[in-house]
Amino acid sequence: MDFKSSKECLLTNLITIKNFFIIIFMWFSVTMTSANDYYGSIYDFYTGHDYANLDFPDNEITSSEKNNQDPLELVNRHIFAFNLMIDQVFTHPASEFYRVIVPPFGRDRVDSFLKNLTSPVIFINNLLQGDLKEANNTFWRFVVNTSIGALGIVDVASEAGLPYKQQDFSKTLSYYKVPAGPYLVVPLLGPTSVSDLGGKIVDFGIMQKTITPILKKNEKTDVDILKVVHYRAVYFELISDRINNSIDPYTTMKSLYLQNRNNFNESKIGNE
Amino acid sequence: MNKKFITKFLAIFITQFFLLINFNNIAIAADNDIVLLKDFSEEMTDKVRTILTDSSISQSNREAQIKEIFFKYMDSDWITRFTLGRYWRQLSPNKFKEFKDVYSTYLANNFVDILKKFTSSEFIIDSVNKSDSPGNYKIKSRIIINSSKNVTSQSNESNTLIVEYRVINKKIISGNNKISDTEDFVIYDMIVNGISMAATQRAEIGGQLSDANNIDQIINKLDEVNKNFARRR
Repeated sequence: MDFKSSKECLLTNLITIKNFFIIIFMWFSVTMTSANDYYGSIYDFYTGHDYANLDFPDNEITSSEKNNQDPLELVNRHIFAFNLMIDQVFTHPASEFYRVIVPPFGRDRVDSFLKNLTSPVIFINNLLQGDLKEANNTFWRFVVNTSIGALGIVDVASEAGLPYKQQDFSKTLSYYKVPAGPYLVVPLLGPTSVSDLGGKIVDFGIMQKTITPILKKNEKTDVDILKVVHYRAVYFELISDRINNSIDPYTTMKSLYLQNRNNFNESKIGNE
Repeated sequence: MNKKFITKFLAIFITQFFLLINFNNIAIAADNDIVLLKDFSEEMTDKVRTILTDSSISQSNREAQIKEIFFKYMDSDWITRFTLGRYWRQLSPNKFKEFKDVYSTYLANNFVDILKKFTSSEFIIDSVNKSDSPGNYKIKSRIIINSSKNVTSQSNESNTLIVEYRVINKKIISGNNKISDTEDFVIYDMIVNGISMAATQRAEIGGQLSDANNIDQIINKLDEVNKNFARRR
């Protein structure tokens, strides 16, 4: 009885913590600098740059972008250094070992398996974005790959004309033009923005309600470790190159992240 | 009054007429450009393909040839100015040249590092189009990575890199400040899967520049990275 009540107490606390995070997230999204718009203007400048016009009208951007788009730069840089240290000690060697022992064919199977696991997240976000056609594709992809494709190890669905299309709650927020908020570097998670971080929390919640209950506790840990090592291996060269060949890896990673994010927004607008 | 009106009308008419002729010339020149640009892109792709796939070429020779391609086709001068933003005007010609030399080498080294990973990949030119500004063009292409031979393995969908080259014909764009009398195409940006090389460089280097006085620090840092490249090879 005591155990039950302490469990209920824990649950209540968790709900309170969850509410606290939701409030913080909403507060950040609404009140902080609308970095999404700011990134957008920089991106327009970058992509609209005119060869003949070397007297850039936005010359001031170089000095101002540093302060405006990244108000938490000092803290972010420290967390980035911490993440880099963790990467060098744990993730980098583990992914290097993984690349040695698992051949490309095996890595492709792992990739398909992990992508199949995220199907519920993709499906729900397809629905949230009102994209019924993609929701239907995702549903059948999951059914086909989980059954015929041996839990997604073989991506049969892609061959059958149901290609994988990544979706998450960050993209849903972006789809509804929710401001990104300031740029953040989160311990262990890496580059993100306030809205993207909120998106990750929601996606985690969806996984907890759908896939996680099916897995045993040790299986869940195995999948989590596999996910980290595999995706680090996928981006192994990109990350290693940028760290080794850059005079400021922090800024480079930030630029890559922001451009990638804007690229998604642009392509989404283009598809509408 | 009538005479004044007729003069005004004629002036406007003649101006419009010449503007129209001029626009037609630009349009014809642009159409010719597309043909020339197709040759330019095919030639460049063929060279890259040969260098990357020819097994008789030694690794050091391959790297040297990729560097040659970089300096031939990329407009490192423009990229340098774009990266420096407003600061390039504050530098003395000698300092600018010093920065440009070390920075171009840095860019070329990065280019070599990236390109030599695609030894068994396929390079496909999809389209060559005019951009909004006169003399500006976009070459859309794809690199299909052969995952069975490359170190990086990803699923089929992500095995393709979309590469867009931003190209300029110096003859057309220069206008009054004529840079070149002949057709002279140069690449001033490469956008890989939506990531602009010029924008990334500007963020990285430009972000370090608080004023033109710390350019020496940046030159030293770039020099250090270049030495690291050399040590690794």
